[in-house]
Amino acid sequence: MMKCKKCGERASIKMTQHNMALCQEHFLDWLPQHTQRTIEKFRMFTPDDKVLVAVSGGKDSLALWDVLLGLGYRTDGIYIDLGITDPQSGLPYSAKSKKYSLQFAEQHNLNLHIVDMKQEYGETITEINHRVRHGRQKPCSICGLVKRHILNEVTREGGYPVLVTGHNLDDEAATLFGNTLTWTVDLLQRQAPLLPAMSGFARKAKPFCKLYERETAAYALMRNIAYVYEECPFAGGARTIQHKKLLNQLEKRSPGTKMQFYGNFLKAREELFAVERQPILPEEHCPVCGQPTHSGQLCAFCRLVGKM
Amino acid sequence: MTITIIVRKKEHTLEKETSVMRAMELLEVSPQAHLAVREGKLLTEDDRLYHGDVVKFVSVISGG
Repeated sequence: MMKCKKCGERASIKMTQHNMALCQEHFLDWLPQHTQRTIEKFRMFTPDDKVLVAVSGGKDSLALWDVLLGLGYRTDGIYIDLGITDPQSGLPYSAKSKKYSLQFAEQHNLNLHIVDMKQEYGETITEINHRVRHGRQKPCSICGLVKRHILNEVTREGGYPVLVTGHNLDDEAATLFGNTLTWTVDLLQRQAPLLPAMSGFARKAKPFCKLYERETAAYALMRNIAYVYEECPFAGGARTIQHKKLLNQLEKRSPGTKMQFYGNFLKAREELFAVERQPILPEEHCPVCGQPTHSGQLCAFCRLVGKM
Repeated sequence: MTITIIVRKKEHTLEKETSVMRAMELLEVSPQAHLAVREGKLLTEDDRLYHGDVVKFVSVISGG
């Protein structure tokens, strides 16, 4: 029987990369403390800030909201109802994720902003994808564009000093892996635990960026947080998931690989991007929504929804 | 008696008692991407599975 490093009782989770196993009680102490250290290390926000949490109904965002509450931070949530249904089964994926997000907010008496794509913009993500691409491609890039736009808008209009997302270390390592395979320097430069507010973009922070996905899931399960287990119906075969699987194969052979890959990148990026190259930021603003754009004309989001 | 293991809503049956790690190997489930849950409690890789157990291997991979 594996024993807890802190108390010697039966362990509930083994974290090989830290050479540590913990029982449920001590894991539920450890994870929030680890998150707090990340928040402080990267100076993400302080207890004086009212934080906006991007909530998807999944394990990471709901676990993050729960951890921030436990740490005493003041928080509101934002959920975007993308109107996604499973093209195969016809089951409503977004409705389920919305249900869990609302349930969490109600249980803890929290304020959850809800932006409904169909109500606000006349079409769901699936419908936009059919109009723009005739449904021949997956809507993931459209979905990303829509989420980035709406999250930025709600954060800025609501006067929140920071938007936090539940991105974990596996998400970050997979993104880093993908951007390194293609040497997409702009994206590598922008990948950071904290993105300061600039040029119309809200400040963004990822307090879970140093936690493995397995750990955030374990926290959600141990805390009995109801979350949507299923992946987005469009996620099957996605490159990010393929990269996660590859990284997990490396992790199996050499525990700590993901942690080193991402952690060492964060150290290296300070040297890589310190002086030589400033990020390319949009200097113009969209005449319709006022959000940043490179073109000086309608931004990509307004072009997308303007055709409705 | 057998051990029932649920992976992505699909039930699998193991005839012999074994460890979580061995069960994951048999079902080709990555321990890096799954958690084992029995009666609402998490199990570590070296925990034993016994006849009559119903264990869920929960995928932790999300995103797209």
